[in-house]
Amino acid sequence: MDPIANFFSSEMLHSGIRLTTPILLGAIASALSSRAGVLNLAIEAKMLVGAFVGLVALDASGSTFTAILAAFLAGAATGGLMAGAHRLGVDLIVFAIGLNMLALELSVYLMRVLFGGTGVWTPDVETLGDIDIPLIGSIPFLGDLLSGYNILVYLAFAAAIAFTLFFRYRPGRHLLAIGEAPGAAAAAGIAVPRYQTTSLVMAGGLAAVGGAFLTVGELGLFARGMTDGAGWIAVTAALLAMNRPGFLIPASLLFGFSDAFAIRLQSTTDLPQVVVQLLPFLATLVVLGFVGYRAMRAAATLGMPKRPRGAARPPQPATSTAGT
Amino acid sequence: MTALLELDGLRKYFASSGVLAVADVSLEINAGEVLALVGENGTGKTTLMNLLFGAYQLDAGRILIDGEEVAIRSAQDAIDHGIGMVQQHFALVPSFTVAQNVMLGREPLRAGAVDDREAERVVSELADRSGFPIDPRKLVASLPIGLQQRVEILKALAGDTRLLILDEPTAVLTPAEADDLIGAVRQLAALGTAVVFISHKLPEVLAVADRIVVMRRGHVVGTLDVGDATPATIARMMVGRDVLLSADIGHVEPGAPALELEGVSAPQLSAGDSGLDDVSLTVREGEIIGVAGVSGNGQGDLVDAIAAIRKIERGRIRVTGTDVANTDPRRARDAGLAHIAEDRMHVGLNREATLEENAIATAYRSKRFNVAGILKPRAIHGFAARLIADYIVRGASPRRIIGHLSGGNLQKIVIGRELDGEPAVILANQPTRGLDVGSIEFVHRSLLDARDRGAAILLVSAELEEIVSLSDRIVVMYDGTLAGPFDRGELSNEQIGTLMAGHDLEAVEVVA
Repeated sequence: MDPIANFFSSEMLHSGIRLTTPILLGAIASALSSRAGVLNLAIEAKMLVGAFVGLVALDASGSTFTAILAAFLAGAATGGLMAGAHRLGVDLIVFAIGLNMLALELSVYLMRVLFGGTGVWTPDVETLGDIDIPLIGSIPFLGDLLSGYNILVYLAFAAAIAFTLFFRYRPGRHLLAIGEAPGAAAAAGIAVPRYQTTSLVMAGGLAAVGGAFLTVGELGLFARGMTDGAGWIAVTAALLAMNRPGFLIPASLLFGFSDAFAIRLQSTTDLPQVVVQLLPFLATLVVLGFVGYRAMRAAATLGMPKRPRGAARPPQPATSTAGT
Repeated sequence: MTALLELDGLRKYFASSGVLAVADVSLEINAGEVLALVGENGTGKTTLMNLLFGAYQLDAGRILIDGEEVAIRSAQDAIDHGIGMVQQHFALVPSFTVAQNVMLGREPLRAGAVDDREAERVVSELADRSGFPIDPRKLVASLPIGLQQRVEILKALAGDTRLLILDEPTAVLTPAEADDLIGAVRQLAALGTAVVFISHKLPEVLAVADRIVVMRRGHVVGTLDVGDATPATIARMMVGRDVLLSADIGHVEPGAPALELEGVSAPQLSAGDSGLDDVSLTVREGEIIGVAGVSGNGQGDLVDAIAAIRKIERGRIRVTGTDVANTDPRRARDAGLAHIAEDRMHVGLNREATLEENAIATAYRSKRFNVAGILKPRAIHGFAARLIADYIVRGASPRRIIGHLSGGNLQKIVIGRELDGEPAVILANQPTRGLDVGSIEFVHRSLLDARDRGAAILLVSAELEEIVSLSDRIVVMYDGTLAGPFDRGELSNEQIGTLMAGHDLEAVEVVA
């Protein structure tokens, strides 16, 4: 086989899809929050909560289903906490920074107190099994690409598609209105705070399942800060997708594959590890630059100065609750 | 016959600001009637209607619909009772279509999913039936203000609306759009809908209303049938005294040139304005030069160039001899310029700051208000308190956020700040837009006083009446160029209108 084809093997594509899964779930969570008019920067925290709680529940119950459910509920509770703070008028950016730090350190603290040891906790558990799809699984190449993942991979992609369809229904339409013009939504009799709370709770649950994918779905172990920025990359992916549900999958795939690409580079070349691991974050940086450029151009076509004069603000989804 | 709607002894007190916004208001309105609600800014008109629309809760009084008392606790309650309201600030979703906006919250469904095709059909039919035709498939963001308002009106009519409340609907419209609106409102009333039309522009009130209810400081001070009303009688009831509707401005011998523009050219920056093309103008001490013109013909660029907010390509702009072109606003102010900005909400003031902070926003660097960079709270407090007292800023206190004040009172803060310290040159851009009769008179009086003590004033206004009645000399702006100056009384309004439309006086006169 020639080296390039070997490099882009179906194996790499397969790992790309696996690595996309937590990012995609986080990206859905981020887009859902943005659509409700809330900039949710605590995706990382919720993923970490899900990763930790999921593994603890798996260790305690032995059931992967219970573990995923527990992770979802823990994430939903974190989302609920955020929604409560939002209703009280707390600045959610500051709150999210706090949550991220709290989740990082609290998970380590609990790990040490409950399970002893330092560094890594490796309970004796069985992670989610891979599912081989009959027929499709036996097609060469395509079978490798589409079959043989654990249930969460399929769930993540199904969730993204469901999220797309959601906007064809009334609650989805209302959510769009809330994110863009909360005042207009409230004036139309839409219960803005209730939508926001529900969205944050669901987003928390989804992001946490994304975290649980890492522990319950793949590794079966927990280490400090093991989400390793996946939550932030998810936020970036949602931004790249302009919070449009149809773009979430391609945007997440971009980051998932750049991860897989980096891992592949590590095993096939002599590039220093730190350089290779930088790659996904470099991709993030490039994307953010692109997003910024696009926003600037959009502002220009709306006939606004690039830097708004005086205190006039560019129109953007409000990040606060609409009063009446 | 029972009235469609009856308000009986309504009262609303805002504890947070200590304002009794609605004192004791009773009125009724019948089906098919247009009731105009007039009064100065901050007099309780909007609060009264918000009580009716469920945005605030009553402190006392009853609301009766068809003779039965109803409780309105939310906008939804009001809508359920057949009341629709168009607020001063539109509440539209820009990326939605007209139909999606109108049907928001009551989208028609097909197989559980939102049916936009059906929504478009319903909206199109509603638009034709009620006399507000519009293309339901257009994106709201792409519509001009007049059509956006039409979307708001359709939204308010989309339920089985029997009473439509329009809160200062013409404030955002061009004169032609306003005329269209008045016609459509009359037609709507002819179809049996009751309309409450809030306004303080007297000519349009007389054109649209069957009855006129005048409010002052939370009370109804009188109800007039439109046949018995004249602008003067309404104005007197609104303000509680006689008002000069067109002022005799007297005359001051002009002094030395204070503001000089020589060959100023500047490119167009935004789609909204036209740039400047070789503009020259001299404003002398003790005179007001009015800039007439249709909005968007370079007035904004002219003002911004003088205030050194925007850059120019060529030419010189001197304020009391100092060239301020392409410097920055601070230098222009140091040279003796005061700037009453067009957009008092976002540029002239910071509504999220206190009155004190706003009062010193342009002068906090002066020794009056700071010692070596440390602010002097007592001096600032004293200045703010004096500003409130001198300019009668109602509902204000020095250390409170100014966001809740009405437009007229906000403008008083701007005027008080800008006229402080006797500036040599005053740029007044649309200084009375959106204000009521009493506040307009106050602003005009302040400008005339400033002129009388020797200030050079450049007045930009879209209201021709204002330009004509206040200016010692007039220039007309069209597509970034100036015609004139002309002396006071030299041109008729028709001639000014000809220049505003971009025609030569001679050319038109030959044809006519």
